[in-house]
Amino acid sequence: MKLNPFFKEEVNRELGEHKILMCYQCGKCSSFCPLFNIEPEKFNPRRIIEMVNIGAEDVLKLDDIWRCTTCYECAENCPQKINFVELIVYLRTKATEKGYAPKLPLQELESVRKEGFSVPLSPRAKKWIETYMVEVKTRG
Amino acid sequence: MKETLVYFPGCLASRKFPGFDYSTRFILQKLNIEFKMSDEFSCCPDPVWVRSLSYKEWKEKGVRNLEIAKNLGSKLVTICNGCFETLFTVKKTFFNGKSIPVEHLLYTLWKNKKEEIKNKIINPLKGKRFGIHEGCHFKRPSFLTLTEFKELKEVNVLKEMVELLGAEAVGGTESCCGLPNFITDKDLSFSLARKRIDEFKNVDGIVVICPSCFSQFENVLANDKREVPIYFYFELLAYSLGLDKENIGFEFHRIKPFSI
Ligand code: SF4
Ligand code: SF4
Repeated sequence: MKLNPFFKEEVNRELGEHKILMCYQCGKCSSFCPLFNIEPEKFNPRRIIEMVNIGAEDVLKLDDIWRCTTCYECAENCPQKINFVELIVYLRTKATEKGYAPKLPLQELESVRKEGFSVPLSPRAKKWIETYMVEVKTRG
Repeated sequence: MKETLVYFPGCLASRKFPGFDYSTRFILQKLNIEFKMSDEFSCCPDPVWVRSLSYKEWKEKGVRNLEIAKNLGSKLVTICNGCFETLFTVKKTFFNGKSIPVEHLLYTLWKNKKEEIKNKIINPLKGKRFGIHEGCHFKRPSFLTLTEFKELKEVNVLKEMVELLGAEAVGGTESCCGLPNFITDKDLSFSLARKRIDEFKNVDGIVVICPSCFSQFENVLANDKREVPIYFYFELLAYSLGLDKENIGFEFHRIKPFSI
């Protein structure tokens, strides 16, 4: 594994007040993480923090970082008040810049850019709205 | 001064499950709550993927939505945990907390309208037993939400609001439905949802307050060929307050609701 000490510095510089360097690897985040509890080999937040803190920049290439649901269970229970969600958002943004983002989330972003919404208006919903919504229109 | 709410339905409720939006407007009118909407709003945007892929655009669009809301009324309300998370977090992070107040409508009604709702119920849900699923972003992250909604630490708002309709409410987790990683790891996402659903035994259905949880639970159940109806809380509230069944939009449900 290639290590890059600047990567660790950069991540810690960019993140908010509770720097992930304060992590003492107790593993509480993982023990509360609903994904770790289902498939520990697929997703382990403590391990992701460890990789960042030793400067393993290849963490950006892992499928793992796209699995977190951002439910905050880990952050709610971390004794060091580390906000893992903030870290995962940061890692994903960096990975996206390097071209590692998976296809479907990128499609959603494109839809927000083009239409302003992440969900398309289905023809069925459109028809229903035209039939029923008239009586309760309240546009400001 | 009479308060005007700015109602932000969000993508799923206005574009995929329009009955959620309809039910909500019906409730607001029944309770004589003045509200405004705007065609200028964009997606909140999504606190998971848009925020993760392009933090800058997430911030810009969130800020823009709040700026629009500020000029329309005195409080922004959402009917989606995701919209709530984005707009509340954007407000806390980029406006130093000082933009228009942002609330989940469930909280707004619980805080101000419980008595009135109780007095206006026409169709109580007596004898029904519902599993309740609050989802993760109704009160998380708590280091942000509890600074404004202190009561949430002690009270199970959804439980109280379901009981208000005359039904029994069981369970009540603030845990994750697994929707976000549906598009990056479907197996893991579905396993998580199954775990949540299986926590409820002998219920007439599961009540959620987030269209994403709704969609996720229905997809998993339909995939597994299981018949557990999922309800969006505001559908049940609207029904209790007298909305006709055909206007609730049950036709958009993948799992047939029981006859209420
Ligand atoms: S719970 Fe906090 S301190 Fe413990 S391993 Fe996780 S991030 Fe580190
Ligand atoms: S936010 Fe991500 S890492 Fe933390 S508990 Fe939830 S799924 Fe696990």
